Amino acid sequence: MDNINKTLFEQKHISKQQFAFFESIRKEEIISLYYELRILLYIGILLFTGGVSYLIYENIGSLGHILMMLLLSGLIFTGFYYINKFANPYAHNLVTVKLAYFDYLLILVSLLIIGLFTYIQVYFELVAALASWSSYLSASLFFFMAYRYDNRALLAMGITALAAALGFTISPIDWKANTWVSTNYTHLIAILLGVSLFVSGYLSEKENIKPHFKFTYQNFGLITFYLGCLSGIFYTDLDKTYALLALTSGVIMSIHTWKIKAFLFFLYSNISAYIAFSYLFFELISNTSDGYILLIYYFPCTCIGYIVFLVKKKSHFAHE
Amino acid sequence: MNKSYIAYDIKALENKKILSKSQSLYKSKLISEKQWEDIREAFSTNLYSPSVFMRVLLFILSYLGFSTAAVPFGFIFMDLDNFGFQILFTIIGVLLLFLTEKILIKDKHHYLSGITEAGLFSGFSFIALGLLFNEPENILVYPIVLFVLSALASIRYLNRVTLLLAIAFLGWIIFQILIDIGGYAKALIPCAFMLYFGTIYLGAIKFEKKLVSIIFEDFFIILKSIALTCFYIAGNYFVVRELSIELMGVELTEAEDIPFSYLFYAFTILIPLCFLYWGIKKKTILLIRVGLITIALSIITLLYYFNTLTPVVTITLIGAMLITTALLLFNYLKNPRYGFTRENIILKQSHSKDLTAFIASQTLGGHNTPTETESYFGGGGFGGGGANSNW
Repeated sequence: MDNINKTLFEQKHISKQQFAFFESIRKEEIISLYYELRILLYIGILLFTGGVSYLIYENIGSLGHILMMLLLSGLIFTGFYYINKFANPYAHNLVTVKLAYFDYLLILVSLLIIGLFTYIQVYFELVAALASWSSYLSASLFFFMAYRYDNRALLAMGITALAAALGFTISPIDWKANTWVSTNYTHLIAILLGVSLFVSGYLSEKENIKPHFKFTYQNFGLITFYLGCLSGIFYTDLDKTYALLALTSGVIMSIHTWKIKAFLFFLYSNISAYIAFSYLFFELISNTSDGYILLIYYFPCTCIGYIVFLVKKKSHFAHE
Repeated sequence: MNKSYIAYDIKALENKKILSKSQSLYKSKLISEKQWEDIREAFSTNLYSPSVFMRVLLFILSYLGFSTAAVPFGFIFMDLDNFGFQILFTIIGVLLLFLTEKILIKDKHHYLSGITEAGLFSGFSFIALGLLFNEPENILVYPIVLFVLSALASIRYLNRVTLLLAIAFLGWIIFQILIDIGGYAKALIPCAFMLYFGTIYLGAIKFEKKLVSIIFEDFFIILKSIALTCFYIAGNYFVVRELSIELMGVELTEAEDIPFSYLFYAFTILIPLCFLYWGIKKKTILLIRVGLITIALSIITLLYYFNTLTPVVTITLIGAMLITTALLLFNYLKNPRYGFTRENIILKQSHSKDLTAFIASQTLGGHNTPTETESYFGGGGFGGGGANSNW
């Protein structure tokens, strides 16, 4: 007997299809690699897990940090996978996503990336080398994420990071005393940054590229601008210049925001102008001899006056 | 070849083969229960072939029993001279073989029962002892005698172990001849063996076409696999180098190298790849398997000499690569390509999810492998050549 299949078929034990199928197996027209794949996988797992366990056991001390970094990377990749799974493509308009906690996911992943970046910097002692670049990198990452996945929280974080970056690069660092040396440049940068942010917000609306980002931009812009001016008043020698700048811009913006009915910005402008005005007023008074009497009346009058004004005009800012 | 040389009843063997094949077909759900029952009836045999564990147990017991059967005779004939002992042992050997054949095989229809193998081995061992008891001066006599005996055993009793022994002894003969010639012939040993095993392989292919019978299938599979693997080993750089140092007293430091080292490097690298390539091209699973095994051996050989990483790191990396390859292949063969499929068509005889689970739990660190469907942990791929398990 030379062929089992043929014998079985001739003695009518198997059907024609069965015979054909078995013959194709016998003649190796169909080859099953099932066992080969399983053995391959098994040996691979055996070697890999064995080696990894041994390596971990031997090097757990210094490996702890590497593992943390790998873990962070793993989490980041998983996060990105899910982000890309649920995200919608880029559009100039407001983009909504069906996933419930998508915002949180974005923020989490961004923070993880920053965390990992910081970790790597500290561990490999690259802080000195990368000091200026790290903040810019963080800022660019946040901006990219904010635009691509349409998230205002990330935009805010990006703007903050950008401010930090500029602050770091512009102010020279006194390494010996380990303190920040503040120069005039910080305030200027703050003012310029504030203006650019405000303009960016304006452009966002005008060019219709993510118009809903406008508020965030302008919010930060104004705050930065006014803080720059006000800190310039109190921390530099050019106090009068800054005060005048704050006063004029505050007044102009107050009128503007009164017209467009943006209450928050109106408030910012008011406060800034008020502080600037008060400062100038005090400077003026201190130059004369008896002006201090006015000082006593200044604060109560202005405060009460402002409260009355607000109460009377609150309807102006009420939403229609 | 005249089948009457074989001691067993050919028809019974053939029926047994059909039954075991049909059983695995039935286990793989390729034939119905009724078909299986019919086949069982039509091809029933009265051969006694116990399960693996029984066989091992019986073999150990019988072998002990048979070999020590000579002890009483030894006491009786204690004062024989050398030649006397020779005759004695030979007679005992022949007697054992005779008993095995007549009683176990012809009367009680044993086949691969453990007792038959014990009878064979003890019988032939005694004959060998008898023939070689006078310690011939020429070493060459030993392998010649042993080769003849094992060849007889494998032909008449269809024993796979004696087949391998026969190949080994013939190889010993060749080795001994070359060593005895000495000098230049020693350097030819690797090539001689490659030639030898190559010839066995080609001979096996040729004979397979002539002796087409289902009872010889296992033999040819073993013959071809061993021939190819040993062909590779004969040319493997590590083997040649280490054996040169050991057997022929060639002194080598780390920097020095054996003659024709480039040739053996080439063999080590190219032969496995050729096996794999031909196996895939001609669609022969035997070549593919031998190819994979020899690739593994080559990698080990090359790493032994050229590894710069620590062994643990190497192992981990290789493990990772194997996993990746396996998963990539698995994905690639989602649909059968060129006739290769990743599905399991016919369950092997030794396919057992419990065995798989057990091995995995012991070697992979105490994980509990699910014994249900697709579990990729654990290897269940043992060669199913004739492993009969009738519980």
